[in-house]
Amino acid sequence: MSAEVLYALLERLHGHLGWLGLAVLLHPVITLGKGRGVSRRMQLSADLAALLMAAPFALGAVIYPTYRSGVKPELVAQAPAVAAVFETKEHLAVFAVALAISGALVLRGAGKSAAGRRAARSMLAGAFVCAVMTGLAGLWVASHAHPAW
Amino acid sequence: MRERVAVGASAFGLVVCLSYAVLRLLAVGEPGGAGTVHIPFFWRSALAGLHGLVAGLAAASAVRDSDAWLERVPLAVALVLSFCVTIAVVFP
Repeated sequence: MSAEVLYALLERLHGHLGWLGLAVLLHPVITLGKGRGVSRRMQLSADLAALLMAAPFALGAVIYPTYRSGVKPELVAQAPAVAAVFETKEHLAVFAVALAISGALVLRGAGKSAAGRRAARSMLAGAFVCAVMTGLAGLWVASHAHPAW
Repeated sequence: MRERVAVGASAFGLVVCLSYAVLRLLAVGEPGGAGTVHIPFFWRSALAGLHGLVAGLAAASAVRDSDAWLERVPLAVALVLSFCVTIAVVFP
C-alpha cells in the first residue's frame, strides 16, 4: 500500500469516526436534558462518545505530518480561505475533544447529583456544538481541497 | 472521591480550552498562522492538555464543596466557549 493510499484511507477513517462520535454524543446530551438519573446506557454512550471523539483526534495526529508536507503548501498557495477554515476546524476539534472527555468523567464522578448532571450536560452540549462546527468545516474543506491522489 | 474526580475533570476541560485559545492568541502575528506551513498545532494541544491536567489535579485536591463548584460549571462552559470559539474563528 502506497503512502498516498494509506493517507487517503486514514483521512476518511478520521472523518467517519468523527461523525460517528458526533452522533453518539447527541444521546447523553438529549437524555441528560430530561432530568432523570444516570442510567447505565447513558453513561456508556457518554464514555463511548468521548472515546469516539478522541480516536479521530489521534488519527489526525498520525496524518498531520503528511497533510502539512503534501497538501497544505498547495492549499495555502491556491486557496488561503480554505486553509484558514481548516485551521479553525483544528482549534474547534481540541475544544470538542477536551469537553467530551471531561463531560463523560464529570458524569461518571458526579452523575448521582443534579448539579453533577447539569455540569456534565453543559460540557457534553458544548462539545457537541464544537464538534458540529468541526464536522461541517471538515466536510467543506474536504469538498474544496481534496488532494488529487 | 468520585465527586473530586468530577471537579477535577470539569477544571481539566475548561482549562484545556482556555489555555489552547490563549496560546493561539499569543501566537498571533508570529510565524505559525494559517498563511504558513509550520503550525505547531499538536505542541499547542499537548501544552494545553498539560495545563488542564495540572489545573484538574489542583482543583480536585483544593475544592471542598464539590456541589457548589459543579453548580457554576454551566456558566463557566458558556463563558469559556464563547471566548474560545471567537478566538478560533477570528484568528485561524
